[in-house]
Amino acid sequence: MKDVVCLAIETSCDETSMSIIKNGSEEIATVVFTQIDIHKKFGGVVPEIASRSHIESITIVLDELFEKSKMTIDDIDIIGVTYGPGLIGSLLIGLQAAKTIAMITGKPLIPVHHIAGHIYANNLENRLQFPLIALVVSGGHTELIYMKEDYSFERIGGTLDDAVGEAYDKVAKILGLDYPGGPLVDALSLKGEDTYDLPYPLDDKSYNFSFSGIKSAVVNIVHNEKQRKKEIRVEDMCTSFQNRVVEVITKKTMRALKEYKVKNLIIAGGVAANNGLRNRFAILCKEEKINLSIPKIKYCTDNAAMIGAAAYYAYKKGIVADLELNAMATDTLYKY
Amino acid sequence: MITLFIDTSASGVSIAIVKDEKVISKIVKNIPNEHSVYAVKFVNDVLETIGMKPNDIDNIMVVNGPGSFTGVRIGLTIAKIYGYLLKKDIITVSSLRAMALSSDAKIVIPIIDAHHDNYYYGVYDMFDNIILKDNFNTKEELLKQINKYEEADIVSNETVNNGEIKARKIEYDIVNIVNHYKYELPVNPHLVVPNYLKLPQALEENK
Repeated sequence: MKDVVCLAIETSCDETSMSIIKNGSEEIATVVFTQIDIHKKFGGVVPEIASRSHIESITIVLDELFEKSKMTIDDIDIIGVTYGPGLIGSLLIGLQAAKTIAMITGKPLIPVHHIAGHIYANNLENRLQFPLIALVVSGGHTELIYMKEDYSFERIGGTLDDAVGEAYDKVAKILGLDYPGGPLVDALSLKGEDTYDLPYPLDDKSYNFSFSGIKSAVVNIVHNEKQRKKEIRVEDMCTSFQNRVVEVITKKTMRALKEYKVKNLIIAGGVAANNGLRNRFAILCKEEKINLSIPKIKYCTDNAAMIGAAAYYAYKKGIVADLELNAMATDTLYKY
Repeated sequence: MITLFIDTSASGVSIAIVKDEKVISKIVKNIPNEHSVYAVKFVNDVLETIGMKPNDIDNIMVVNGPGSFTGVRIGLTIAKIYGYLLKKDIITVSSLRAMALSSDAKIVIPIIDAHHDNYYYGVYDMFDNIILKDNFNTKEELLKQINKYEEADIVSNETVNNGEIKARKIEYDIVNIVNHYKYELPVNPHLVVPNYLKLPQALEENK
């Protein structure tokens, strides 16, 4: 079969990223312009500032990508773009760019759901093995997905409130840590002891998650200690928080694997970089003889390489958009 | 000379092809909140209906503000990518000056309602001289200008009827706009940015 070279664009949050991916698995080049330093001083992503930054860098990133890949627009077969979910003002920049390229070149425009991208990040390293369960954990998402075959998604559970990465960042903020605080909580948890009495977040029979309760518990303890003029043991709080979160996530994921009789597990999204989660899954999967796949850190965070990988399989399934494709702040993955 | 004109800065969009001082293809449509869906399609359609290919144009003139932040970014993203890929010159156009160029009056005050009693406005004369450059300010400041130039034609891209501030809706004279802007220097696609005239709220609060 003829090679399919995809130009992929991802601007759903605070990273302007473009990538060229061959046949859904081979990364030719990727460029990521991150705005993290711009948003740091606000303690989180400011949507209007993110949009302003995306438009300033959109052609620069494309130019750098062509330079890095030593390719031109004529070498591209399909254009993949994240159409949602994400920050609408940010998504729009990548979407208009992709639609304009499609209009000028007449090449197929492939709409890619951000979560599908995170899952297919794994395909850049090892071909996905089906059936599989995918756990997508990031600052915006916490989802358990069952896949029978390529580009078939069945959501079996997800967060009812905060995404897990969001809960980490909020807890970090309460503890006075820098933004983005998730990785800091993870790092500090390795040094502390599990001494705080925090609840297990939504420890029930469903495959859903909820992190607002445990976050509130952290807030309450911090406030109470402050009123009693006592110091919070930050490291111990990080350990206690991380242990509860990791326990519930791994428990529910392992139960899903059993119930769906699946032997392949993939972890995706920014929180897949979390050491607590990685280590616990490594142990459990070894015990249960589950084939575990976690992408390299650079593929865990938002990037266009993963969108290019997913776009190839979407294209093979016949998913092509016209020039009226719109961005969606929220959208379910499961209509395709 | 064939120019692709793009304005998506207001609730109505104007996309046109101007050739030798004539509009040869045009879509002017009120599509509030749907720019993201239709803008690229309309660019495609103005070309397609007259049998032109994207590469057949010579340059792009695009409104870079002031106006709706999101709206402005949609038109500019299209222009930047188009200009970059096909190596077409990009000239940025002020929405306010474009309105002033569409009126025959001696003095024109183009305004855009920026909500919460704030406005974007400028003051121009019939020879396209800038008397007061485009700015963002309060209703009170705008009123000073309106009172100063009693004979001025107060225009906007949508009808404005906010008590003391009234403006008639003006349609773009695209040929005249293109004629005046063709002498402006083109901007490198990487450097084409919106002219918001207003900081994001998060920065206003931090000031």
